[in-house]
Amino acid sequence: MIGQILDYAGMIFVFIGSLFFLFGTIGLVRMPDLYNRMQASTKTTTLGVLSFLFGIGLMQLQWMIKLLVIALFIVLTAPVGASALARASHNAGIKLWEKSIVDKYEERKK
Amino acid sequence: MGGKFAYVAILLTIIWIALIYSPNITMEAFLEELVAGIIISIGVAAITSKNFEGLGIKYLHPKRIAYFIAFFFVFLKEMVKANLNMARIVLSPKLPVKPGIVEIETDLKLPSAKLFLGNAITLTPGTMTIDYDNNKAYIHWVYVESTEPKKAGEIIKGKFERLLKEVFS
Repeated sequence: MIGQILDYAGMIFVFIGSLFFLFGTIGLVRMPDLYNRMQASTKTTTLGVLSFLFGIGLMQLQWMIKLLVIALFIVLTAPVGASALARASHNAGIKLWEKSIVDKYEERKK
Repeated sequence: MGGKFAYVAILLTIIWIALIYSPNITMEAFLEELVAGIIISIGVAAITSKNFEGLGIKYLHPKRIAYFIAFFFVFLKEMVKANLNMARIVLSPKLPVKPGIVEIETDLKLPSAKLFLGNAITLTPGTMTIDYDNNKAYIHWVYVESTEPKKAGEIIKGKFERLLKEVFS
């Protein structure tokens, strides 16, 4: 009985996770420039993966500890990767969208 | 060097145990894995421990840990908000974005504290850390509400910084 409830709860989490992946992908297509795209994909995929892992953990309780460790590493490393990529792109001269209203980072370099 | 080396080795071993443990593993297999894990942890710690910032044992004070847990829950809540916000932006037909890179200032001194702040900013509503320059942080913002460093800082990092200050003071 409890196993069944956990199964369904896990499925709901997996479903929510995949919805976030979908939003991230739509964002990737629709956003105007590299930096906005990166924002859309980093945030949504991080929470998507967390939700996914938690859902799988509910379905297979004996994996929960491993999955939480994996989730912790994803939370710690995904934003660092995104920041590094954004910084590298800016330094490589990729421009912001022309309708962006301010670029303090560019001003600093001058 | 000695202390840091021991911390890194022990931490890696604990992570390893968390990764290999499962309720139906046999004792023999567990011991084999454990020995292999300890040897590899020591090897990795010997190579990498000099790159870690040694914070010292005083950071394990219960009050700091309590504040860190509070930070974690605030962070989780903000992350869910960030995602709903992002979903709203990408699904609305008009695509309401007003992007830009703003500059904010932080009082945090320790590199680890700055790392946590930067990560928290990246994963919360519409903002992404691009670079640090001493106490200045450059933040890409999907919907710029203020270009004033003080005001922008309060919106972007207000809650996080107050909690992190308690953790890393």
